[in-house]
Parts: sequence; structure tokens; C-alpha cells
Amino acid sequence: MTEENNQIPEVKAGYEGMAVEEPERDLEMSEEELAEASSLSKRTELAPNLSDMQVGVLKLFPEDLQPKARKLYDLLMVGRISPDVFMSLLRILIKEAVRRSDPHKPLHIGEMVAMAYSVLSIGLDGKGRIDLLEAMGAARESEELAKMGGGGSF
Amino acid sequence: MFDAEADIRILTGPQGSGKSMTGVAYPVDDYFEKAKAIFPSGKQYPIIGTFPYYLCKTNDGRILKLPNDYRTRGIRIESPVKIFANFKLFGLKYIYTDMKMMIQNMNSPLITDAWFLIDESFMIDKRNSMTQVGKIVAQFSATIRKRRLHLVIMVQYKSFAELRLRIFATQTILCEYDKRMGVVTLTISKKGEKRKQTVSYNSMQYRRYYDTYELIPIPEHVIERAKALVGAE
Repeated sequence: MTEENNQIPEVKAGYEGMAVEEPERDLEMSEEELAEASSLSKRTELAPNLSDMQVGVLKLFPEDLQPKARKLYDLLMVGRISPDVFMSLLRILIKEAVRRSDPHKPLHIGEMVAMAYSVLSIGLDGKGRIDLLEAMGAARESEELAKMGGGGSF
Repeated sequence: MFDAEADIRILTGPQGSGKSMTGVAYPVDDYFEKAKAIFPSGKQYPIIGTFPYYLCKTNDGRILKLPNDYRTRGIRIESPVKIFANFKLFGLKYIYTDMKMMIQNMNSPLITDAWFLIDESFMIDKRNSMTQVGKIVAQFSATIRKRRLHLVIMVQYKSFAELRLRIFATQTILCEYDKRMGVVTLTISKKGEKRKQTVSYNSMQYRRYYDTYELIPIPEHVIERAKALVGAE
């Protein structure tokens, strides 16, 4: 078998000769849209490359808990909390938060209750964590696979 | 700019999910990152912003805003980034590349060192893979790295794309569009990596570079063949 086209033909008109440029389309944009715009490449550079598990852990262990009570809250979220002691623990944690608060600053009762309730809810039977791990793991994978038409996602 | 590995990105998502927008956004960012504004005086300054105005930075650190009618004032924006696309682009220098153009230049060095955008095209539809044209496209897809191309394919479902392209793909990007916010969210899966990256961006900044309602034409020879089959004139 002979190679008929073993020479690369010359391009009659190079890229510059063939390329065209039309003015960009005129589109109106609001001031809000202008203020928040950031290019896709910049956003891709800045976006964290987290695994599903890492995203799940960030949700499971919120970082904005009160620093002084952080260790206690971490333990409560990891441990299993019996429904029988849930309300008692809630009261104790709220009292504890009130006691730790700065007496010279206004007291945010709603925030304290919400914080204690959230921590205890996460720990209650570990149910919340299991739900989230399922959601971030198998459930999400299958949803993406379905969207991609069964083509796989590496 | 170019890796040792072929850069093949498959953008997936239903109609109106921001695939074309994302496909355009990649070369637009690259184009303007390397672009310079060239003034009638001959001075050249790098472009540092494209939204909503073109901004460039002078050698002494001043930021200049190009007027909207910069073209008529003799100011040019030039970029070394080459772009080929099977749909129309606005505000960028590019070569419109349909299947005929692609096949005509298959053995020439023209389609090298560039971004190549293929949107909803007959070119990469897996149903055409056993036609003569499909075989050439498959051969082309095997030379992406040698050609130092960034190939960006936009299909609604990954399974619609030609098998080799799916195998060669280095990134699969799922696009979702939030109409209320005008934000496109991408879930990026990279070959060989279990982690996924999620990125959101404002779609407004890229709308002026393409027309979302542009129809991608079907090649004439395919229409002629279909006409012959049904006896149409």
C-alpha cells in the first residue's frame, strides 16, 4: 500500500486570512449583574476540589459554632444521643450557653437555642449524618449518572 | 496553555442548561487573558476586564476603559488565541468550521493550537460513527493532543457523543442553569479523579459572544440523501 498523501498541503490562507470577527452583541445588563460578575476561569481556579465526603463533613460539623463550646458540640454530634435525654440535654446546653455568655453584651437566646438544637439533632441516633452521607454519596452519583444519559462520569 | 494530555471537554445538560454558554466562556476567558488593546498610536496594553466594558492597564498602572465605539476610533483588540467553532461567535476573531471546512483542512496545519467548539453537531453524533465522515471525525478525535487542541463538545447527554470522544474525554461537565438568578452551575468530573468540582458563574457576561437561538445547520449532503429517500424535491 502506498502513501498517497504523505505531504501536508499548504494552507492557502492561514488562520489570520480566514478568521472573521463580528462586533459583540449589544445586551443590556443591570448594575447588580455588573457588580458580581467574575469570569468562569477565575471561579474555577478558586473553587475547592472537594470530595463528596469532604462536603458532607463540612455540613456535618458546622464551623461557626461557639469556639468555647466547640469540643463539647463536636462530641455531641459524633455521639449517639438517645431521644429520652434530648430535651434534658437541650435545656442543659442552653443554660450552659447563657452561663458562658459575656454579661456585658446582649443575649441572643434564639441563636443559643437554635445552636444547641442543631447540634443535638445531628447527634440524635446519628440519623442526620446517615441521611446526609447517603445524599452526598450514592444518591448524588446516581442522579448525575441519570442526567448524563448513562454515559458514565469517570 | 497546553498539557501533555489531550484536552477534551464534554459539556452535558438538557436544552437551556448553559452548555453553549460554558463552551463559549472557556475560549472567551483565554482570548481576553492574552489579548491586547492596540491604539492608533501603536501603543499596546493588556486587556484586564471585559465586563461590561473592555478595560486595559497601561505600563504606568493606569486603568483605561475603552469607549463603546472603540472600533470606529481605530482601537483594536487582538489576541493570539485561535478559535474554531461550528456556530457564530461575536466580538472574537474565529473561523466558522462546519464539517466541510474541517474535512478540507484535515491534513493541513490550520486546525492546531486552538480552541475547537462543537455544539449539537452532526459531526460528533455517535449514530454517524460508521459513515465515511464519521470515521474521519473519529480519526480527527485521536489527534487532539498532536494538534494541541482544546476540544469542547456540547451534547445533551454524554451517550449521544461518538464513542471515542467519550473515551478520550478528560473532563465531563454537567451544566445547570438557574433562570431566576441567571447563574450557570457546573459539576466538573475530571478523568482519573474521584473528586468533583462545582463552579457557578454569572451567565450575563458571556451572552454577547454568541446567539443562543442560532440553529446549527445539518450538512447539505445529509439533507439531500434524506430528500432522496422520501422523494422530496
